[in-house]
Amino acid sequence: MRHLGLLLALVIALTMTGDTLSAQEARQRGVLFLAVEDFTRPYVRLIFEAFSDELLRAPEAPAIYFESLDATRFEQTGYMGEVREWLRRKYRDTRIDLVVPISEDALVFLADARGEPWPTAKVLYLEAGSVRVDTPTVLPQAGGILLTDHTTDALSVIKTILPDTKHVAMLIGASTVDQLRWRSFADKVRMVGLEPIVVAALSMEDSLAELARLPPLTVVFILQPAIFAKGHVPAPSEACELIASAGYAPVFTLGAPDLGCGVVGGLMRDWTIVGRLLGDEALRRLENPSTDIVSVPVAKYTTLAFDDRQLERWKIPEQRLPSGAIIRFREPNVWRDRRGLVITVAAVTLVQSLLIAGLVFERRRRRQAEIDSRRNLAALAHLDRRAAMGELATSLAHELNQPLNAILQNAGMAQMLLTSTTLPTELSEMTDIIGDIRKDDIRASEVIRRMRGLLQKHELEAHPIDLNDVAQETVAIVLPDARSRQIEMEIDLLNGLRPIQGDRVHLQQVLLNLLMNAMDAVAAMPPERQRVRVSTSQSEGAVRLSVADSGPGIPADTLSKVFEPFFTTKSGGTSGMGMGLAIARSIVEAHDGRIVAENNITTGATVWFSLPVSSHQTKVL
Amino acid sequence: MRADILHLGPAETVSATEPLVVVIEDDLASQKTLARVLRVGGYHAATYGSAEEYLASPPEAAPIGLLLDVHLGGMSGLDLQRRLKAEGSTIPVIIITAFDDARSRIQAENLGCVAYLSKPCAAETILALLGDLAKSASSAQQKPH
Repeated sequence: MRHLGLLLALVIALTMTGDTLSAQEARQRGVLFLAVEDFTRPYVRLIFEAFSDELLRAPEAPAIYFESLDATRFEQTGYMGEVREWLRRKYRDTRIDLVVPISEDALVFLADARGEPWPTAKVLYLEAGSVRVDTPTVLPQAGGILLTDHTTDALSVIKTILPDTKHVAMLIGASTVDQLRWRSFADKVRMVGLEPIVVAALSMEDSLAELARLPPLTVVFILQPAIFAKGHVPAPSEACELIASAGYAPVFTLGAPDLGCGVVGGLMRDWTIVGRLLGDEALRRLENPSTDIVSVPVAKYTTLAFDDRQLERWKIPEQRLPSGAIIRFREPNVWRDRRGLVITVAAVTLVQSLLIAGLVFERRRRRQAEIDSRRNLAALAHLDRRAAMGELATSLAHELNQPLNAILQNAGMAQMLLTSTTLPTELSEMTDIIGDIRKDDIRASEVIRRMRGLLQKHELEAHPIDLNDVAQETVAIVLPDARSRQIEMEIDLLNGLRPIQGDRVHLQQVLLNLLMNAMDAVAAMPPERQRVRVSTSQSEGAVRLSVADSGPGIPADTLSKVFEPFFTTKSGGTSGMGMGLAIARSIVEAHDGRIVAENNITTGATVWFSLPVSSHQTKVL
Repeated sequence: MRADILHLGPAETVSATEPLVVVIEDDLASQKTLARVLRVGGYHAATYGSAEEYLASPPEAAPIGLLLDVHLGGMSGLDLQRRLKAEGSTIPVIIITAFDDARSRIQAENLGCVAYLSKPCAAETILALLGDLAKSASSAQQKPH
């Protein structure tokens, strides 16, 4: 295995050299993304990803380079000069048409040496609030995107939802860059009538200690978490989770991706939108150089969203939220119908509670009252997915072993050809081998990605979803199993299906259950009847997904019972505990949908479920 | 070790033409890779996507070995092995499969396979086995003289 790793590293190194060479030969245009920090900061990663996606969509996509100045951790005198010198040498033979500095310090880095080491490249900067560099004088080739400052609005939102607030503790790093960057934030805090408390600790441990001493009626704003005492940078959600779980005060941040880690929410920047805007503008300026400054209004790049669990924790009533606010992580048993029909909710909750009550009684009678029904469904669903994946394990292992095998053998070939003195080493052969390794690597990671999605513990969350995607994804999971059991899988998806609001993993699970039942139903049939058909269709307000089999069908007297817990037609201990369809039903019903089993007119049975189409105004997620 | 493998290859054998090896494998990526391994090892590969294909048009020359997958679309590798044995074939069979399951291993061994390899398996292993087969094939040819 270690051997394989080394070989792969060698092969990848070879491939990368090849790419760079061919890029230069074509004199492809180059765009350099210049960040102050690196991908350990989610904002850098998210902006860069959306930025790259946008650039790569262009017909003649430029080459994209990424550099980080790492200026928040290295501040010694002369450091920037050395970085500049190193970059000059590194990019000596590389064409850069446009440099995109992200935030002030990257722009300052360029302005300090009049654009060096890329003096002839155009500059498109990204800044929030205002630009303190006199670009027309020191960097005349620069234009930029200016995000209208949203911090005042964000602070006002906090005042609205927590009207008693007196202090805002600002958590920032101890570096000069951090101190300068957030100085104006303290002014904004004062402007909305609150008192700033700057917590500029040297380490995360110190930050936590200081937070414990905050006065009452304080909220915490994590602007830039300190690194840990031992020097490691906290992972994206780590700082947020640590501080939020300490529970000293309500916690806020400025970036939308933090929602879910324990922050309350509010008006937050959506970095993906920012990256997209930036990429779009970069493409435009590659074609038509310009020094314009594009101003982006607050509403265009922010989202107003809250974490329901935090609202509850800090006793913030929903009525206080500004209109248009999105509530996420809402528990499904308070998952309200859009029209607010409380009765529907009560009915759905009742069905769900009854189901769960039945289950829990079987094993843990006493604890039943304490267990939160919502978490229970998610946990059961998780167990059921694991059981299903367990049944599929053999064929998934097979699916994974195929590409691994090809990779191992190809790497062996590459090694032999490279080290042999007798065999002729053809460059084209080597390229072909490496190309195959890459293809198989992608194929293997596809298999893992599909499995991982289903194996993770997962709470119900609603997003707009195309049911066709769910169908394709799930069929891909069972396909190897179907193939090894010689079952023909037919897929007939309706184009242009309207999106529904739902939870992808849980809907995949419903389909997984239906597919595995269908495959079991046809397993003992003669070959011409070993067929399963998956199809989608839609009517006025609903989208439907059906799984039809050509098995023996369901006896008429049990048709109504198939969705009951512990009901099974399968004999022996091989097929789980008869929970699959019961769980499927509670998931479908938690989505306001319905699920039906019926016998086909000719042979076999069909189980289908339908879900309401989402309207454009859905807000409650 | 590597040099050994290269020497095990048939490059040194008396035969002027490259020995023929039959590959029956339904996974296209694995088939392509295996063909490459054989080419580099100095063998001529005849590839088939299914047992049926092979039965319909076997190669004219006698192969020194048959590399066989177990799970093929249609007739399984073990069924093919069984059928060939019943027909009196003496072509050595090497099973290469992504399912390492004890039952098929025992069946394949009872049917007299030379080796039962589970994926992922190294190219070197396959070439070493084929090197042995090539040697015994050429010595068998020389015996009558």
